[in-house]
Amino acid sequence: MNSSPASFSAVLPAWSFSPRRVWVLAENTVTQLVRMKVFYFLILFAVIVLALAAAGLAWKPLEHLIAIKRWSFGAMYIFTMVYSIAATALLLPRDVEDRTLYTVLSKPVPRFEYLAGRLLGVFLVNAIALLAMFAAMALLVKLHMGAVEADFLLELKRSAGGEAVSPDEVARQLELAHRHGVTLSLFWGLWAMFLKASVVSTVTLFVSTFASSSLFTIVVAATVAFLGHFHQLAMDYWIYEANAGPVGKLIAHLLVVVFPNLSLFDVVDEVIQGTHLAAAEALRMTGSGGFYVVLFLLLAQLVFMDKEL
Amino acid sequence: MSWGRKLGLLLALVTGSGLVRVPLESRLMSDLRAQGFHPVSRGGGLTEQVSVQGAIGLLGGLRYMVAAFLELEAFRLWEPPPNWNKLSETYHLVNLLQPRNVESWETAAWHHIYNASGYYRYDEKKLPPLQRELLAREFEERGIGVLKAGIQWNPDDCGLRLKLADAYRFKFKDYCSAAEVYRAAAEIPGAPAFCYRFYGYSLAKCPGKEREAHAALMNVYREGLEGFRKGEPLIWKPTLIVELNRLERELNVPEAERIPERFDEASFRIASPLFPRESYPLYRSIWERATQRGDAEADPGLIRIIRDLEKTQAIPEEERLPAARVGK
Repeated sequence: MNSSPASFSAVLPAWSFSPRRVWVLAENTVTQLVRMKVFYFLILFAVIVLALAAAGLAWKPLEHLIAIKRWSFGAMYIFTMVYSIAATALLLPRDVEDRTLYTVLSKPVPRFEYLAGRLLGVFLVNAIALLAMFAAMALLVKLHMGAVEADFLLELKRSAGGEAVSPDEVARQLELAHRHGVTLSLFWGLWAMFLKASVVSTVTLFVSTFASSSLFTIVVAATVAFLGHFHQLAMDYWIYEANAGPVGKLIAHLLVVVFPNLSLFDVVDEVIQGTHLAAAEALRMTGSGGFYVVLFLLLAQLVFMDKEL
Repeated sequence: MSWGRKLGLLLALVTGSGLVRVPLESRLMSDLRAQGFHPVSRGGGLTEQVSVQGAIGLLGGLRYMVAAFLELEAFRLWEPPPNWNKLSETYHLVNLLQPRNVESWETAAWHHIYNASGYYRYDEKKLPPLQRELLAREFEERGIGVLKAGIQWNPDDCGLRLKLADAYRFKFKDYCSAAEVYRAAAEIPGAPAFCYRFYGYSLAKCPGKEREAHAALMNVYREGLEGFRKGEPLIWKPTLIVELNRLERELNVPEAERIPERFDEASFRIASPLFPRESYPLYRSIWERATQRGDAEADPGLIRIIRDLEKTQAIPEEERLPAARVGK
């Protein structure tokens, strides 16, 4: 049992990578995760969004709109992070436990394809859930935009204090209001969140290839995710700060080189405030995310390729 | 492959990829910052910046949600009986977590400058009057500090500067400071044109700045004239005409360089040779009132404008201002 899957992997030539096999494994993972009732979170999300829509707090229209986006993105973030770590950490141990792993690897399926397929399945569930939540939020945002536009024009008139306001200024004010609506930048914010979750999933998968238990995997992956957010702080203040001591600089260098820079994907907060994210930067962010996914998948394969199962 | 070799390869991959990606990521981060992401204060000290970056790092992508919780808490603190100190601390945290959220800086400043100070000045009855006044002033100063900090984090935002300038102008009657802030707001690309007009109006009330104020208000005057000639609505307001007339007198501007417009307080309308027919009775009415007050001499240009209009508009003799009354 232990030697046969490894021998299958070894005899398969490197160019036998089959996207179809990866897709089948991904579909199987989606089914498995759906049966674990991960989508039940969407009901909770819907309740949060509906409660926000009906909230009777004395918010100004823009504050109300930002609150809707904040809470929706916050709920999405909690879902993606918890799901990315927990669902991925459970994949390998569960496959070992119900012996699916042996069934799969006894077929002519390279271990790399197995890992890639499982990971793709996790990404797919994440993407479906995020898109569903985004659609609900976008609908609510659209419904509130009329009130926001009216308030922006009122604010312009109030600020002008009776002074004349030109049509250009009105148009500019409306353009400012539209920045808070459903924009491409808002979608890039969602995409950045998905990228971050994908990186965290891949790191978790890598940890799970050598971890002794699911709990260990979850703790280590959560720690990496946590430290990944201090990347920029390390860069800004410890490496470039002249007063930092040698120990601080060494720790900062290690943090920067070893851990993934997850703060790179934290653009949602500004996007919620209406800041525009250019497509070029979004694509570069995608490149960074893709780089991490490929890197940690390769690392996972390195550990997993001849691991005794 | 042995575990030793595997570990070596793994470390080499992690380190090698790290060395490749760090410069690329730094460049991406700088570009994102240039677009307004990952805020860096332009005025805060290192400690403040580390606090903000630390809070952002600690909460990861959850900081906006935590900020939302804190804002709800602040909302509760505002309800009677208000806890202004706690509210002040809560908003400090909110702004620390989301320094690019202009709305929360504005709300925090509004609570400090208007609500808290008003509460201590008018509603709080348990404290002695002197202590109440001191507390009111303390919150006003804190509010000004909040707006200034918000401007440092959001140097490209016009709204925060307008709020600060409005506070100086309407609340504290500090027209010199207001003018300075309005001018800074007007210099922001895309700022509404009225920022510059408010700069002029405020500067006109700033002692010692009469010459600069006159120049600024003349710019507004010319802007209005040009717009009007292009068929746009006239942007002149009574304040503009009143302040220009006053500054011309104070600065002894030569008669020929003075503006011909006057403000008729009785009808609350501007008299201008641009509308000769409608303005003639307004000029007459202004002259009549000045004569009654006995200060018609203070505006020698007025009678010249009236006479010019009578000639150009062919005003019938019986409707003209009698020469005997003018004394010429």
